[in-house]
Amino acid sequence: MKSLTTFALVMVAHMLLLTASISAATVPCSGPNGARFNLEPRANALPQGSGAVDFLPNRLGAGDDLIVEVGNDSRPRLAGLDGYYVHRSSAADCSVQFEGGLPNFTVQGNEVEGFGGTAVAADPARDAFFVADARLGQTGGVGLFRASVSTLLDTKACPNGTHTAAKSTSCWTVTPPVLLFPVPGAFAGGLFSIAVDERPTSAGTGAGDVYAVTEIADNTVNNVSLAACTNTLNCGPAIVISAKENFQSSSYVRVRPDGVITVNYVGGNASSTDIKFVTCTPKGAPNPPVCTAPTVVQNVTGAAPNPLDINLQPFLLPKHAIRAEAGGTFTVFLVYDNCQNTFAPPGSNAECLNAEVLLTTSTDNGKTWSTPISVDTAAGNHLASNITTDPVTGFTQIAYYSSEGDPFQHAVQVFRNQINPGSTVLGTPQMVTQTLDPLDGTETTLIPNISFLGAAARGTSAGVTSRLYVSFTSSTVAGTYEGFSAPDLNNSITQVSF
Amino acid sequence: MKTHAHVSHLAILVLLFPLHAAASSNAAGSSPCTAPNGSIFNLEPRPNAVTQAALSVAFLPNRAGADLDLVVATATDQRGLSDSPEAFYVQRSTENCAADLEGGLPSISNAMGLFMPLGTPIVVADPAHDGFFIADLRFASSPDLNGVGIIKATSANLLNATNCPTGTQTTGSAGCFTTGSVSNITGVNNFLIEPNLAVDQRTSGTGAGDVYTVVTETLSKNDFGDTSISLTACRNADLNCSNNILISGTDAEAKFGWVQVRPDGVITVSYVNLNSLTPTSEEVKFVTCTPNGAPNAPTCSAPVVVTKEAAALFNKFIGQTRLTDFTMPKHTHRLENNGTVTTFLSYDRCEVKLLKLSRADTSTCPKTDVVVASSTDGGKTWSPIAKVSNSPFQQFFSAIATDTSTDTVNIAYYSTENDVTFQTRPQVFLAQIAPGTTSVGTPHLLTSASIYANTTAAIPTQLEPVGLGDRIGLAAAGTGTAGQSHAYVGFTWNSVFGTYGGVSLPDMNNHLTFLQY
Repeated sequence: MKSLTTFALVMVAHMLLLTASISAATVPCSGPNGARFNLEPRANALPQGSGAVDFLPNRLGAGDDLIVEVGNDSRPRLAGLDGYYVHRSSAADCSVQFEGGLPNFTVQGNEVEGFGGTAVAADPARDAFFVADARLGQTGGVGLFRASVSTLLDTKACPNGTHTAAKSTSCWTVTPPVLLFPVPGAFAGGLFSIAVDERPTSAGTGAGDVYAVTEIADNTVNNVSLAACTNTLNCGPAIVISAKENFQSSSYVRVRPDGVITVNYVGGNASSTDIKFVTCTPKGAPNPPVCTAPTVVQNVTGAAPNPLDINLQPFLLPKHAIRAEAGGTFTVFLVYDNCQNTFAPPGSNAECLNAEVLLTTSTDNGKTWSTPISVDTAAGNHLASNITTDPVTGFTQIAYYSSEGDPFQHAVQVFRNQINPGSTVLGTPQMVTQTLDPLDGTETTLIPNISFLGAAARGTSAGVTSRLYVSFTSSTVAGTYEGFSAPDLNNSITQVSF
Repeated sequence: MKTHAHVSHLAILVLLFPLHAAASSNAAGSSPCTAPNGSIFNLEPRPNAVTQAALSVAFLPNRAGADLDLVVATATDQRGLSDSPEAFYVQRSTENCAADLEGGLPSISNAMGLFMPLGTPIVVADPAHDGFFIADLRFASSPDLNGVGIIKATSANLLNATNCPTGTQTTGSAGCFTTGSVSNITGVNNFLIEPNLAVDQRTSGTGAGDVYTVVTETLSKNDFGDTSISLTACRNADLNCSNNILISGTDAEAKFGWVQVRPDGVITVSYVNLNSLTPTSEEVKFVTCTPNGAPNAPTCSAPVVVTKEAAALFNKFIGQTRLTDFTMPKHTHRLENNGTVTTFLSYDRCEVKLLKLSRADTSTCPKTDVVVASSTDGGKTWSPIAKVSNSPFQQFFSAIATDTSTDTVNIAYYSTENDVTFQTRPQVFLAQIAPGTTSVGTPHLLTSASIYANTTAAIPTQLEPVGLGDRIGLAAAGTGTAGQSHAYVGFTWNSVFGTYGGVSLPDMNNHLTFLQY
């Protein structure tokens, strides 16, 4: 009897160990293809993509970052057409513990629902995340949400698994969300961007404020507008920061380490397209900032003509990052996709034969800019660029897709290029994901397969390894359809230590 | 007879990419025909190259010399060599699957007008009469008329460098062809699509040597959604043709007619009836016709249902390839030793129900198969369908042809089976049914390389085929001696790049490969 008991105990112990080993299974962030960053079952899986990412380093433990990714998600049972995906486990990996669609909320008695176009920003100083999405309702606009880390780590407010509408509401509406840039019906603006003044709350005017920027265009107005909100989402009126161009697009906001707000956008008329740059002085939300007139970063001649390959269209979505220098000055790095070679067949519109990522820098707060240089001069297409500076160490990372490994110029890998602190010189392009991914599939409209990469770089202290996360769309993880395996587009993530 | 072709011959840059396939090719020897990508089969210069998409291939073994086949292929060709998106290509100097000459097809005049080539040229060989026939769509103006063109080229003429010069035909290609006619003439309310033809290879008996064409005729009813199949018989020597006859009965959406002639002269036609207006299923159908000697029209039986498909494949995505497929049944006959005839019919089908794989997806088949059925009683009854390949992922664009010298049935198709991760890179395969059997042997891999088919033409042209087009061309023949047969496969491939503004980019071309057996 004793031996049977011992045997049973041994078996139970083995089973517990087995269970432990299963639950402890990790999802490596730095695998050859990164990691799928959603919880969707594989049967009849639908596409996710176009994600953005931010994180709080070591927030879950040594080497274990709290990661929030957002993106478009085709699943009909999520609360909206966009998704959020969160890693919060004690395993320092890229597993997802919960996900969902950003919840509907009510504005002036009418419900607004999300329909994609997402952004995320971490706020280390106040231990929170902000996410935003496009909203549809009687009044549309940009929905802005705040979730404290304590809420995101609360398994009652934010349970593990795929959230229902009720769970996404409990997870993301502790701070009531707000609707920015209200317009009748669906949000008519283009892409929008958010940023947080990450200075400690007592550091000065605007510290902790949240800024959102977008272009607005309808039959009566077209401009780039900027809104300022307190950290708890008390928002002021949006102000126009563009210069009455015929059109505007692709606005992108950052906050300098001294609290100055910087915006780049694209503006122009029928004969000229310019990347423009605006600096704004914070006045403490909900008071709107006071902004300078836009300066021209670059007149763009290689803006996005028709794509030669539907996967490889260079969109003109300039983005910038700012590095604080030792002397109290700042260097602004701005990247954008450019069509390196256009080709105009007889009787047809111009096409882009190959795309490149260009970098320009400014050391005088955006007044003047260096001549743009190519981030990667290898043959092929380089596009979907994003840039981020680790505010602690000053390393700047540029992430992009590259087709340089595919003779057919169709499949892509994620690459990065690093600019070291104190320098404006580009490094050597580094391959991040190893598999050439064709990103084929039937989803070609709602989720442009490789239009966007998300990128966020953060560290904890100088001399300690920092991390770069890149969110991207991948088809390396298959779904199953009627019992057959087939490629599935997924929002994915990869991590690089530097 | 005008052509817009360029005169200049630039060296063709052939880029052979690393092999991507795990399987090895069973193709024989080191012929350019059996290279990893087969061989490009057109003469288009590489600067600003436009799309060619393979449609058909035919050949006469050893007709251009000892161990030198006379090969003719057709393709959709966006150069507009004869003011139309179609062309033919000939190998006659070297057994290398390289084109010696190419050109657009000549216009054809008759009492009703001047009929210009409009597209979809299909070629067949006529070994019994030492020539080739090409059928295509035709259009005449004032009044606007549609028709099916048939042109004939004798082998002697195709081998005559004076009548049919080497290179791209720049002054029209009429010299290559000796006879032409237009049949099945309709008004503008009855568009014609998808012509096909076959030649009776007999040299005696009623209908011997006659040429038969089928075409899908669109009817104005239901906003041109209704279609039918019509059949025409033409005399071999002078292409004097019968009136066209309706052979698809009351089927309202009959499409993709495919005609063959049995060794006893009986004409057979297969087609698909979509049934989309009364959503039940696609029906693959089969018709037999008794020849009456052209220009008399044949006498045809009522269509017989070969099989029904619940997952209608019409214009559906093939997995995640972004290519689309159609149920396009094709059949071939094999004369058995006892004098009976076995008919084999193949087509692409969706093995499971159709799905929407995204919000933007219209409909996708998660698993596309090539299947074959056979009949030993003249098409009255059919065996259950059988998969030509049990390989994973997508098999599609099937074609079938019998090598009458060995009674080997050949089935060509694309398959993504070796692209384990992404399932989108196709290769060309050839399966065979050995004489005396109805079971399919292990398929041969013909192109050990693979491509991305989802590249876009750098120079877009009106109505250009997307991706790999919609079919593969196949012809098989030999001397009857083992090892002296060829199964030529004409396919669409983008391994040979064009140059655009100094940048080298993928360009779709008609290619040629073969299996020697």
